[in-house]
Amino acid sequence: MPKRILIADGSPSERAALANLARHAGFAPSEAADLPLLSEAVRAGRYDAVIVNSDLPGMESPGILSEIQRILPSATVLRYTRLSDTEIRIERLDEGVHPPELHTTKERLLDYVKAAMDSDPLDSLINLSNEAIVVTDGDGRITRWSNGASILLGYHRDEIIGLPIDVIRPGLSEPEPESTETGVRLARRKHRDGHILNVELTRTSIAGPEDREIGCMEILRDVTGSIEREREIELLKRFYERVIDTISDGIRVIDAAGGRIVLANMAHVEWTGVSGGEMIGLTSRDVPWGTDSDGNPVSVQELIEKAIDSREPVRAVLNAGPQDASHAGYTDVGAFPMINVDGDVDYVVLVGRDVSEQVHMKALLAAERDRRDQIIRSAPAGIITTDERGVIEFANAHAAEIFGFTDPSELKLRNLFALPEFGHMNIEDGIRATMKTGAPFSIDHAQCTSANGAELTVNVRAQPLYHGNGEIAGVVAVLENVTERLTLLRRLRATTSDLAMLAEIGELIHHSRDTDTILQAILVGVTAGEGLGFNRAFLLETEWETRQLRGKFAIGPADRAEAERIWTELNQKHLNLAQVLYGYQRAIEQKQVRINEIAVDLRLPLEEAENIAARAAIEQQAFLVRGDTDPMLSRNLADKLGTDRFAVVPLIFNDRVEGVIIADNAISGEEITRDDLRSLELFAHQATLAVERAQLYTELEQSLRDLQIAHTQLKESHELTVRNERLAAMGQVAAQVAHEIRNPLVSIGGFARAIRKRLEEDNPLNQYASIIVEETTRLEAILNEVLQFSRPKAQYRTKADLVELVNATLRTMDTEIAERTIKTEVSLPDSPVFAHVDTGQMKQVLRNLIANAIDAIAEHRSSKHRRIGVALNTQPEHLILAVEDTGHGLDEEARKNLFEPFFTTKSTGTGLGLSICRQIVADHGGDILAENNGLGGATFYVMLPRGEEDKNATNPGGGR
Amino acid sequence: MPRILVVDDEQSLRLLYKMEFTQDGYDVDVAANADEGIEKVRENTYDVVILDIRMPGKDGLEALGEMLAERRSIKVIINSAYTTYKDNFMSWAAEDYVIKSSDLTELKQKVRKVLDS
Repeated sequence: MPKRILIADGSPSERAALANLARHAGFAPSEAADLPLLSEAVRAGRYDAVIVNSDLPGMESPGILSEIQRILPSATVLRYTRLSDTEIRIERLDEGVHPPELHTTKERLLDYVKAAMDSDPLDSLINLSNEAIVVTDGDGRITRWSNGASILLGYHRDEIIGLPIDVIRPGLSEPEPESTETGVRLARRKHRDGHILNVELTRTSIAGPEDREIGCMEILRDVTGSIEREREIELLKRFYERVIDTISDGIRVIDAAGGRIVLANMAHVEWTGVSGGEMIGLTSRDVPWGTDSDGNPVSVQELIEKAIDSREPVRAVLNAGPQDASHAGYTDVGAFPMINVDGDVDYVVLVGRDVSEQVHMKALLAAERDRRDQIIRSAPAGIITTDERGVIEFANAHAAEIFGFTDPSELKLRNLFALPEFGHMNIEDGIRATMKTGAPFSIDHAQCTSANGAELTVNVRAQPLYHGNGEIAGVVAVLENVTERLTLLRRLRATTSDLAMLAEIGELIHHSRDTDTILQAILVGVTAGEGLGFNRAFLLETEWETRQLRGKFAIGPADRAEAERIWTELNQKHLNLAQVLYGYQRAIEQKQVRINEIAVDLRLPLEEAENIAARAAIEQQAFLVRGDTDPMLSRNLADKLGTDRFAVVPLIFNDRVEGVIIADNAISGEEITRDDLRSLELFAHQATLAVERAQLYTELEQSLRDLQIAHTQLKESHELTVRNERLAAMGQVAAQVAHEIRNPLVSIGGFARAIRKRLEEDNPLNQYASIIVEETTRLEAILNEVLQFSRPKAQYRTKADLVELVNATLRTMDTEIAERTIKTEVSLPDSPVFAHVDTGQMKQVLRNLIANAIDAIAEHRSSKHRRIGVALNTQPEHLILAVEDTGHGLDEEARKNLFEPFFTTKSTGTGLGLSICRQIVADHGGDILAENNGLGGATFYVMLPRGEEDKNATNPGGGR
Repeated sequence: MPRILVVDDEQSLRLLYKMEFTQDGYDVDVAANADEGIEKVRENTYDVVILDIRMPGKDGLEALGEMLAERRSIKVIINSAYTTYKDNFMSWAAEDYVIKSSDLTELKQKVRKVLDS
């Protein structure tokens, strides 16, 4: 009866193939396509063997086999894994022994199953194995021997079983330390024919009771060939490693595909602090090529990628230096792609060299060169180098400037000796000598005129330049422009003496407020020996109205004879400037200065273009005229002055040209230099400053006087304010007192009247009562005035006829006037004169003035002197109301204080009447004033402004 | 007989006015302050009230307002030592405004004028 076998395999074709094999091997096969079917089959039927493909889903779990074995304890259960089309691996679960893995072929799978079922499962498992498996017992005798072992070591199983394991060991000559450890190691084994094999030995210990070893299993794998190859490769690799380790450049080989470092030399320690060996296997990305000066890692990844992409070597200088470098480091890294036979880049070789020193030196060198160029360029002197023929190789900006060029490059490659400017310098011979003999050459204050016409003074120093062989290669010349310095020096000297003289002139000017004296002092300064020392000086005044220069003064001798006389006299007398000035003024007065007579006749139109004096005035500039060839000279002026060599400078006061000074050396014939001109200019400037200062002083005095006046006015105004305030305060007190007095006054007067009424007319008491009544009435009148003054009533202006107003007022006073036998003369216009006034107030003003007039004439007895005149006069802009009397008139004090409150000339009265009048008139926008008239009395005028509408309604005729 | 009320804090003036107006044939009543005057106006009927302004306590202008509130038709003449109150519009409610004077002619004229109207 055939044995029953269950084949579980997910692949139908594989399953069918195995089933076929099983039938040929005499099995009765059943099939299961998946784990549930397998499980069902195992539970349903009795099988002698179960083989399961490990690929079957769910078979990963190792417990499955044990479970099948538990259900079918007598069955042979194994799992197989397909390794390739022909090879398989078999795992078998067996009692006591962990299933070894066996490699065999698919065809032999069934043989193996059969063997497993027939015999000791372990025997067949080992025997059938292609692996060289040797099992020994506790005594070291061989108990099992696989097919693979037979192939490897040449012994047949039958002849070796039972022999000691030493048979296959190399022997006593090569004793092997017996290791009982489980594990893999290299060992040597002896073939049946005697040669020694290198094997990889996997030893598995077989443990008995109490963990004692009762045997062991060795699996041997022949490694003889591979070990030798590996050793050779290893040696070669070591050799190369040693070679590249000797190189100080950092070398790194990168696997292009994986980006891993496959080789790196010792030199890397310098950059990374890690030896090459430690870097191998790491990805290149993880290992930067050192760090930059800030400590940041410097990656070479980009370089590698570039080399791979371009398939060309790539180089870059990275800002990465050796770790312990004191200054910023630089590394020149080259990435070289290695291209294999297929044309692909499989490796990139990086070679890095520390170039910090070179970069650093280069930077230092460049800085040094820059500095040198900077020095030469900015040196305050001109520097020129030439070759041995004099061709200029280098010139700086200052050198170009000295020769009158704007750009140093214009000088380059020109021959120094061919420069026309150079020819004037008298240094050609000296420089040629330097070039020939090598002797240094130097000259001070060489004169030259540069290409742009400027006159220069130059100090020159020349040194030879040598070739390497000692021959003279050219010269280097240093040219120092000292023109400005010399000028300054000369000017400083001149200024020092000018200043001393100016101080004296300034003194003269300061003490003089007279412009003529000041101008004469200036001329004295121009001609004085201790001053500017010109022979003669002319002063011409600008007349801007007539637009001409007019001669004003001149100083100096008219001819040589007079010159000798004057100069001798001056030398003998040792006069100071003030004395000279005094003498000069006297001489002018007496018309003894002959050239002054020439001067005062000079008339030069400002518009004359060729007239240098006019130009000096208009252009506000100084000029130097040097002889009759000078294009600026007009013949006319030269004839008048009697010389064609002179200096002319403008005199500018307060930004206005007030004149020009012409100075010459006509007598001595001494040349006028540019320095003389400058001194004259400077002197004129200083002199005008002195004059301006004198004018300022005068103005200051005037301002001071104005200030004093203003101060006085302010003081008066202040006093007025104080007085007004005092008056206002007085008014308030007066009002208060007046109110308090009124009530008792009313009772006194009231009861006095009551008493008077009850007394008979002839009773003397009646008279006394009357006195009380009258006095209280007077007091009440005073009260009313005081109150009105202290608090003027609001105005109620209406359009009123002033003619009617005057008439009405006079009517109310008729009795009073008549009683005193006073004659009135009234002069009023025939038609109404309208004005906008507060009629009550205006009546009060008029009543007041008339009452005053009555009082004024009270003392006169003669009828001739008992007249009052009242008139209304119309003017275009004003209405004038006049009240005149024939009284005693007004004395000075009265005129001054007439309208002041509380001022009175009368024995009675408050002194407020006229004050109130003035207030009322002022409130109407008018004015009141008084004057003495021809009648011995006073006339008061009230002037009121006329409004437009009032004018139209008025008849302009009328009046006195 | 026309009835007159004189309101004034000055006793001498009350006496003077009472004497003068009684002589002229008026029935004269007096009050020494504003409240007394108002009280009298409430209780009696006067043809004319002569009213001072500056008084201790309530002043004449206030009194004028209250009197008018009491009796719409009452006739009041203000009699003050001050001219200032002429500018106060309250004073315009009075029939007239007379500055105090020892000569009572003007005041008497104004009283007559009020009675005649």
